[in-house]
Amino acid sequence: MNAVTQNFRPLIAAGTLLGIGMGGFVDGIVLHQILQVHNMLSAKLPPNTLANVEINMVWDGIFHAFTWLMTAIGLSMLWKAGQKREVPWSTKTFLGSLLQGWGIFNLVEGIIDHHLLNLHHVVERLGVSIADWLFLAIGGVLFIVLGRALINAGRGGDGPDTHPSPAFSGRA
Amino acid sequence: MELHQGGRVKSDNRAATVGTERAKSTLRPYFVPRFRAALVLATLLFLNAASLLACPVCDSETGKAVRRGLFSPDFGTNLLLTVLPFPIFLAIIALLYYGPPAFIQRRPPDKADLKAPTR
Repeated sequence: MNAVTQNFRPLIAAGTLLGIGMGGFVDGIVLHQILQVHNMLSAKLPPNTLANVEINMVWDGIFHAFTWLMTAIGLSMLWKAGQKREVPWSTKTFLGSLLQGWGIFNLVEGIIDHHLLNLHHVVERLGVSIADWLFLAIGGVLFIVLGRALINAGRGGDGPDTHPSPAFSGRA
Repeated sequence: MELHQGGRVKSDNRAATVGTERAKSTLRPYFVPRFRAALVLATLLFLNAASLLACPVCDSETGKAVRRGLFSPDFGTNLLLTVLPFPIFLAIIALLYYGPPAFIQRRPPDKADLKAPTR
């Protein structure tokens, strides 16, 4: 039996990037389009005229284009991870990575766009509000913590992402 | 002798033909799917170009106001601000994929590090 070093990193990285992309789509579809509580530059250009609504729509589109790019790269990374024998195909690790990615998206986007640059806020008409802080705490930190817990459960403990396993068969 | 030379010419011609066929059979699988993909892409672009002509706001006052607002002196700043989180996402993914950079990684001291300094 060959000793194979298990490597969770490709799966975690791919899942996380897919989670970032899909988290971006949830933000864009639910908050920008369905609920219309904010747009990409709604704090700079309030969508109170048709022209401003359409300008915000363009910037929303550019944001979505980059979100799509993240998803596409994540998909390509997942495909490559699936071809590597040393990468364990763990559902828990993958789901945890998706959740972690969603949390990273909310945390990074929330800190940068909502708080540092003031491009928009979760509920634009309220400005910086409790919704922004809940977005960071629940959508950001809690999702990352839960994601990490699932990742650790999938790889059998809170160990490093790569470790040797003589009995490893390639697919869990 | 001539026959022999003729035979060689024949066999050279055959080798050239086989070489050409081989080159064709090597290149065909490379170019044909790409040509088909380019054709599909060109068709899609052509069909979308037709929908651009149907743009309801392009020649309207609103359309002009949108273009003025969009391509204002703030265009570069707005673009930068909109895409700013994405390099950060990719940096986080690189960190997850490759691990932390060598200068941050904690590693056990090498034997050489444990050696007593000699003067």
